Amino acid sequence: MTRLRRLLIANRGEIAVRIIRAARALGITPLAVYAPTDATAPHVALAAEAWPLPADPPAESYLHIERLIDIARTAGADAVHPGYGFLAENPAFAKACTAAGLLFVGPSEEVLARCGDKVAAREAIAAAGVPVLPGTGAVDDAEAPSAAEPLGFPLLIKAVGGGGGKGIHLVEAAGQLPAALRLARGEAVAAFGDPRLYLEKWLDTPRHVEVQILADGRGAVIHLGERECSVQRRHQKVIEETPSPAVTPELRARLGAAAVAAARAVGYVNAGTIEFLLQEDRFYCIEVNARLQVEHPVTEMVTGWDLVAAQLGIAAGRPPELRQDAVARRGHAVECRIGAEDPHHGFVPSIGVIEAVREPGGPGVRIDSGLTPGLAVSRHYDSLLAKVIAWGEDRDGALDRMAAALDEMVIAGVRTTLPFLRWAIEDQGFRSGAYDVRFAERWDHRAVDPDALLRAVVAAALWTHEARRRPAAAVTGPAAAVVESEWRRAARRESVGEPEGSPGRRPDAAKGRR
Amino acid sequence: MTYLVCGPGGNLQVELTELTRGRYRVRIAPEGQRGKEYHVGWSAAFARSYWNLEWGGRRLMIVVEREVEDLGITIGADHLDLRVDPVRRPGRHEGEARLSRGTVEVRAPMPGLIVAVEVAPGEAISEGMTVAVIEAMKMQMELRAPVGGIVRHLRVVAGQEVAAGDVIAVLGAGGEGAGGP
Repeated sequence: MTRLRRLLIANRGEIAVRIIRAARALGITPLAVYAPTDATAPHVALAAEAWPLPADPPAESYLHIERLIDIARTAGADAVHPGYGFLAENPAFAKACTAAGLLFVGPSEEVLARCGDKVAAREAIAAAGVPVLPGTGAVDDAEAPSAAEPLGFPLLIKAVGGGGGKGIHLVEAAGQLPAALRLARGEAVAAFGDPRLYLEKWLDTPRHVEVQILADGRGAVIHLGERECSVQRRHQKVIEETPSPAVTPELRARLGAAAVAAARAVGYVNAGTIEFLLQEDRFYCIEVNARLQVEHPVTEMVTGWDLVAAQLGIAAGRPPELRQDAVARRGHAVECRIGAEDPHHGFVPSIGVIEAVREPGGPGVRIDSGLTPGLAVSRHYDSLLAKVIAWGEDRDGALDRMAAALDEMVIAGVRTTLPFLRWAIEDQGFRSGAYDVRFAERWDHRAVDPDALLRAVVAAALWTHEARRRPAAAVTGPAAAVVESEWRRAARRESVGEPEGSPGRRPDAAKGRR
Repeated sequence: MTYLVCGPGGNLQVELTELTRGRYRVRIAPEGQRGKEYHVGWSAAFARSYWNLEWGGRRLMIVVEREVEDLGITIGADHLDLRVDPVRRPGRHEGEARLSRGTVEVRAPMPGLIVAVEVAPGEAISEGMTVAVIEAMKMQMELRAPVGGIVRHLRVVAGQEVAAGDVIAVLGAGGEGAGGP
């Protein structure tokens, strides 16, 4: 048993803010790290101390194990929370933390390695009697075509070391396999530093349903119910809700039991998620996510649990009492992920500087956000900017609150997925609850409001008319010019390998000490 | 003042008369027709890109952003890329000279890192072939040739950072069209 006093958060953005809040509520001092571009980010401002990292690329900042361990030691941390993404599921990081005498807030190195090898994890889970999807082991380019044959097309390419939707590609026909393998391998290396890929059978219209589990490392494993994550773009979840409109109490009990069995099969400890595909009332386990999930707040909203606090308790050997019959769920919760992507131009990443933000509030509305004016949205990191979570007594109540909250939310400076989210929350197909993983494709075929077209034409004329009266600089768009020069500066810095800021190890004590 | 607004649904002429500061009489007409008249309000709403349009007693928040060549207008979930030109003499529009004939540019759809260039200058390529691969936010995207043709110019190399709208390659009409005007 350890008393946690100082917690280093090896992450950025909204999840770093989320963890800082849990730490403060528990009387633990939160310590942040930041890349140069994040110097003014909320997680830096909210932490008790913030320690600089020398450069923006993840390999030199939030993925740099030695540097992070060094900072943790120098800062006097006794534990490290990895958040999600970056090093969250990296066994080498967990090992390095342990070796340095730091508690790693998550499963052990061994469990991470077991879950991180998606192929091995699937075999262990199948052996425990939990249904899994047919798939291959790790394949190279040469053996992929023959390995694909028994699965048939379409199929999915997935990264053995993957997660979070990165490196996943749908292959419709055998002829597309080589090109898709190349893209997937490139992404897998960039995102996970592991080029291994495997193939998995593709179900046409399943629902993606996952189960939150908690394991205390002393034999107790419970589940906190499911999350429905079928609204996805590019295999990345965009909207999540709980309960799932497709899950009856009977199915919830079966899914929960399967999730607990899967967790036991891999020897899981701490908070984790077991992902399933659900078709009618048959489900198949696809993987174990050995981390806190992006979408964990919807579970928190209906159960009242603080999952980060539970993680910290389990890591420190002071776990909360885990009793399945003590888990009570109330009402309905939904989460929308706001990403820096342009939904009107193929969801291409939108890079720039946050000019202004207005975040919603009100009863049942929660914002987990990494946004602040002046923050650069860099190409180096994930596009997730903020999450809006809404709770209601029932599904309609939660969705109505979400619709109002999304209308309130304004982000200027980069394009965001807000228009897509507003459409989805009001769409009849989503509202009915009868949707599957293909739902988001309907965005590309939606009807456009003819009134909106007329108003857009008038707005374009008015904007141009008034722009002609403004000084010349304004006409060309000052925001665009700023972004452009920031971008070029960053590009120049990288191309000459010139580090920005000093790689010193002094905490930026002036920032946000409170 | 009259503007010609060109969008996917065709061209419309918009005649603006400012009545008081921020209040306009607007006449919207397909080219050469009389069209309909509306009274609207226009004011800044939030930051530099959000505007309020008052129309029929309702206030709508509208986002106006510059696209590579057009104006991007977003209202709720709806979005249009529009091109606006002042009309100096009614009925005449001279905005179509921007595409040099016979060549097509492949541009970067987003800022990012060119991770691979798959074609060489002078190479004949077919429609849909990958010209280059760009990466941003851990996503890789293939930039494909919109038409077949000869690679006239290659403006990037692997490892180079590009901004949105940067020209990646210039394709010339292939085969029968080669060496055109």
